[in-house]
Amino acid sequence: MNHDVEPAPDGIWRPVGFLLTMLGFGLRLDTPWQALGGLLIFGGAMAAGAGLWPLVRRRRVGAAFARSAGEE
Amino acid sequence: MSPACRPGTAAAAAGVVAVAVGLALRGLAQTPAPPAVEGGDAPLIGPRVRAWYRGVLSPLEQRLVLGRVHPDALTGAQLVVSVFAGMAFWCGWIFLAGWLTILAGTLDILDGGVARGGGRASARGAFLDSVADRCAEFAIFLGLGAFFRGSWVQLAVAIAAFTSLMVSYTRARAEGLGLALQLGRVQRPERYVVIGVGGWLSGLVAHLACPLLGRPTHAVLAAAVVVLAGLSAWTALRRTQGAARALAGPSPS
Repeated sequence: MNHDVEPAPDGIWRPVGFLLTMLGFGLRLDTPWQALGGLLIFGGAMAAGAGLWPLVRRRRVGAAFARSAGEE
Repeated sequence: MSPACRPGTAAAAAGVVAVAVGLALRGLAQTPAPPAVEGGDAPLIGPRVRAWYRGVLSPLEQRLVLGRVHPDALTGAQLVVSVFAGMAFWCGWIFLAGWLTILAGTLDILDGGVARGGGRASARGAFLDSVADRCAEFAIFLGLGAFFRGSWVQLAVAIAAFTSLMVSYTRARAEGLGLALQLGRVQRPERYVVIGVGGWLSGLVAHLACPLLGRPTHAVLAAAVVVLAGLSAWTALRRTQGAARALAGPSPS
């Protein structure tokens, strides 16, 4: 693993978002701390969304390139 | 003291888990398979899954190395999270406990990776990590035992705790006698996965089936404990057998 390069931020946000979301669901399902659980689900969804968005964008750009190449 | 049934929240959580599993399977399919370990006692979690999970954690690991986070801090965090997981099992917060167990296992992977990546791997760190691992496992089994108090599953928890300890002990003792004993169906990552995923699924199933059954029941977690007890006993026996066979030759002294 090369530690000299800065890691891609979206690669960090995906697991962190999933972690927070599941913690939030855990609190909502099992404990009386409903508000904190809701907050964690919201924060986790935001973080996971921030991590997943570049993947979706890359795929869209890739599909657009493939389409334009096909048209030619 | 699990509160009321929450099937709606459980269904939402199951939806998120389904999306995550879909993404994970996609990632897994794209992960090249490292060479498998030869022999009949290869770990249940194969090299491909391990490589994929390390790949998922790799950006986080890099960030921790760049942030100069000390691996001992991650070992300490693993212990604290395991104690919380044990407490959550004790309270009957099974979904949360399962998830915290998975988190503790993840921190266990991260501390070694950060130590190696940051050039801080040492015999002292490895020793502290092993001690913390045993304490962390004890905390989780203690919580499980308390949750299943008064039930036959408590006996399965006791057997799982003992045999898990024996899996680690047989390896440590064999290594002390100069024998490398790496193989075994159920090692520490497998234990975290069986208990963590078992608790996690049990929490989901309990809340989803709650309107039908009238109360949350944790048969999935009980099954996971029984499976873990059996597999750990098998692993400890196989290791003992393997070490005894390898050490059967004449003593060098």
